[in-house]
Amino acid sequence: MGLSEHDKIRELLALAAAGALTSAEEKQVAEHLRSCIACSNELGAWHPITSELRRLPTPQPSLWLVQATLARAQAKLIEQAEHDWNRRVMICVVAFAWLLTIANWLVFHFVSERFGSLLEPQFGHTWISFAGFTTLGWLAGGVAAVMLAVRQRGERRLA
Amino acid sequence: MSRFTKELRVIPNAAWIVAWLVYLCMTVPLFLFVAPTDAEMSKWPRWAQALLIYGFLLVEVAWVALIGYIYGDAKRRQMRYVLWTLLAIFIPNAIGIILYLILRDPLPKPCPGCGHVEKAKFPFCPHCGTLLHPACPKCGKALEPTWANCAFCGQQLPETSMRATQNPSVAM
Amino acid sequence: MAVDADVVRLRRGDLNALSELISRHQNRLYRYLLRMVRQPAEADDLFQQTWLRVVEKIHSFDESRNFDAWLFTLARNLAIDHLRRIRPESLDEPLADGRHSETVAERIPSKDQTPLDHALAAERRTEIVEAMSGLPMMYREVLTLRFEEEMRIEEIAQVTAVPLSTAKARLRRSLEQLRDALEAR
Repeated sequence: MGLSEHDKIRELLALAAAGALTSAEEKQVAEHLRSCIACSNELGAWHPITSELRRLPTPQPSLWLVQATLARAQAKLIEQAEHDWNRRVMICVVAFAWLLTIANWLVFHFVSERFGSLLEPQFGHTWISFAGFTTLGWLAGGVAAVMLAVRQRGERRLA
Repeated sequence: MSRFTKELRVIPNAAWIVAWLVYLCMTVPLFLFVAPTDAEMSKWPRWAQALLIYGFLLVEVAWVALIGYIYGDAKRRQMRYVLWTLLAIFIPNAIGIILYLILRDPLPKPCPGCGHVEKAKFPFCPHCGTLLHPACPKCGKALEPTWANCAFCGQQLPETSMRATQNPSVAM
Repeated sequence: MAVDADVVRLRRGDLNALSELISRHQNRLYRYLLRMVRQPAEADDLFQQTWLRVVEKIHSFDESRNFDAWLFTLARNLAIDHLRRIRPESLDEPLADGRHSETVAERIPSKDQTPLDHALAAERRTEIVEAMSGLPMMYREVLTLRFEEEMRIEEIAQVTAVPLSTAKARLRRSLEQLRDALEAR
């Protein structure tokens, strides 16, 4: 069955000492305390603990810790900003690269239409020469990338 | 000054001069001579021709500026700037530029001992010998100052003065 | 909720804002971590990790929210992960103490027996800190949040991610267990 009024209030006494009751609960407790000496005493007995809990000395972080933390956190902030910036630059340059590819196509088209007759007949096929040009570019880039990356891996050792 | 304007200043003035000169040399003859006589383009209104020619060739300005940036940037990072600039020019469609951005060295910081600026990857300053960046004695990879063991090869690191003075209670 | 100017500046990458934020919160954060893990060396390490996490996640932090609560939640998660790795047994929530059957008379401290009445305030505080460190982590946490951080019980429930009734029950039980520990000395 349910607890008696007295038992219910007893459960709330610790929380009352901690100041963690709702105003409705506080009223309930105050009501009960007016008639119950035992509970008043118990509430009083909490006081030494809770008041000292509120006044515990604050352990402080050492100056070294704060400075080291600040240095590392700032370094991280800078590194993140760098990373963000580099990512944005890369996106723009890749878009630019595609723009150049399209531009090359237009230039090829323009030039071959007007001056294709001056060249050998087999170069009259614009798209072949364009495709060849583009593929050559990407291939050269790929080969250079691999070579440089391999060299970079070797050079990453500092000492 | 925003990051963008800071980076723009890396581009040498010569690059800008070349960029705009070439721009003028290409756009003006095209607009004045080629456009009116061309079979297709002469049918367009003059402003459309102008827009196409002057707008389209701005791409050239951007490209030359980027090459200039690579020249200046590779130089300040103590890289082989002539080689990289040539790579960026001759690998078409800006792929050389992309390659450079991926593979470039980090920015070197001035030595705290003598202020001289050397390559970012040197662990010691070649002028005054100050330790620039701690490196593992066994595998040579870059270390963090607070490590007790190398994270790459496991080598136990000597108790350097940097670590000991950092936390007095630990040194006890 | 007023938007914290330093937080806004930090999101834009202002290094000084970071310095301000750390110095404003350093004592409270360190105290909380120390109460949670009890070892100063571990608290030091978690202190650094918390701030690094703040920098990492500041962009996903909604500026209109309470920075304090968020900071403490980050710290809490790191502390719990740490304890889970190092001392998993310390995370177990203790069962209810089942002392409801005791009569009130047994609880009234008598002037002769209880050390509480005799100890000087400072000594008492040392005893309290020692007794607290003997409590399970969940109890230490709710005690420090209520009495040292002076968070309201609703905020405590939010930071510890439990319903309000659970937070209240934990607070009550933690106080009772603390009292028992002090009386047993």
